[in-house]
Amino acid sequence: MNWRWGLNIILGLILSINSSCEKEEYHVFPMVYGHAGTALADERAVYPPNSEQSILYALNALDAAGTEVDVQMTKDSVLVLFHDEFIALDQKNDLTCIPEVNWEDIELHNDGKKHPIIRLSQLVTIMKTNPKKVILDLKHYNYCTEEFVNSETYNWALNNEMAELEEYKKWRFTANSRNIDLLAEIDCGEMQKAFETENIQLGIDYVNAYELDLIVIRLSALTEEGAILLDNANVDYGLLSVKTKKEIKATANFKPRIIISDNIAGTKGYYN
Amino acid sequence: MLILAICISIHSTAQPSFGVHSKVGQNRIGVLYELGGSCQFKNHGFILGARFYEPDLVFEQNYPGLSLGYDYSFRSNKKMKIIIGGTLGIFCEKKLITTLWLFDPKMILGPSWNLSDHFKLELLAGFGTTVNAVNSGFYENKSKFTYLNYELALGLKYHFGVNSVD
Repeated sequence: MNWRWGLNIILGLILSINSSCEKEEYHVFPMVYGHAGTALADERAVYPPNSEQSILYALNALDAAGTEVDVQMTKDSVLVLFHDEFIALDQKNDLTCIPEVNWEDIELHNDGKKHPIIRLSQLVTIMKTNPKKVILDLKHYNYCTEEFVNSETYNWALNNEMAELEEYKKWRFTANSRNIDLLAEIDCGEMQKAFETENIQLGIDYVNAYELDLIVIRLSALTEEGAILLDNANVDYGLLSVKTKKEIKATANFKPRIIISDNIAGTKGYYN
Repeated sequence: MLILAICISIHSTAQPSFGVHSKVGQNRIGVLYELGGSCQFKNHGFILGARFYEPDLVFEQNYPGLSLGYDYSFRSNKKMKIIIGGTLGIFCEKKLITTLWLFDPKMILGPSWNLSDHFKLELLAGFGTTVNAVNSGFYENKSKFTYLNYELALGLKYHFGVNSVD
């Protein structure tokens, strides 16, 4: 064995690094948002989804244009940031749903936790001094009772949580829902509205009928024909469920205004 | 670390052995590649290298960062040793409106096999914290994020001279 061995290995590594540095072809730069703060997927998350640290990490450390968070309404009409359909609040680990518990119960659950569940008003406080953007994914279904939440109460709760924010800053928030009745009920000043769907034509119809600002679509649900429909209708759209390098590359086949990504750095790096 | 290496060298009559090292592995930041120089003196090893992550969850421009390391070998037999030590990775990246400094100190532990007089293969487990210090252009905002990090890496070292303790 001689020194050439070592040299070959080093050269091989340098070549592999160099090839991964090659720039991809030019693409228009969409705004990259973090998913549930930084990332919803376990393998991508540095902090728990929808936690304050996860949101701040996305906005500050990774320099995302904004962040998407999941919003659910408690029984006493407080909006909290939480993704899952069910939650174990007591020590027995019995599962319940956010719409079935009061904010006080969540505060008890939060006690001593490093990354507690936060209220939407806490996020609003952060965003008072941060000019970036937020998509509020409004969860509209109570999985415990198998009923939709009350849209009027939801709108009241949203306005209550947003009350601290100056009116002219509300345009940086977007209310996103899969429930058009809930979206139609939402009236929160300059706040934008987005409809999440896999049905492109339905989305386009709703954008026109309800004066929505954009459609949010899962990347896997968007086809070339769907993108043509959206372009022809001049409807802005955002792409969701972008995680792997392959998925990041696939977004470049379309012209999304925003990308809600589980890999902020990878997505931004690709478009840079 | 360099000072420590010099101090150890001048307090002994044995000669240090210099070499190069490469490493591939994975931790919470991403897949890592590392290249650099190494210095082995008795049971003490020092490394100075460049570390690069791709794919990763932090960097957009993917410039390499600096990697420093020290390890101590417990000699069980001529073919295999157990090494314990520490590494520190330092990265800086200017994003659109923020500057990110990433510090990645870790304890490392694992076996090292002597493949020949010159080559060593290492399998290292690392555990430590990652500190992201951010200076944002908005409102002169400075923030720091700290989280646990764990790493598994495979390293290869080539030494130009034969180590006096081998």
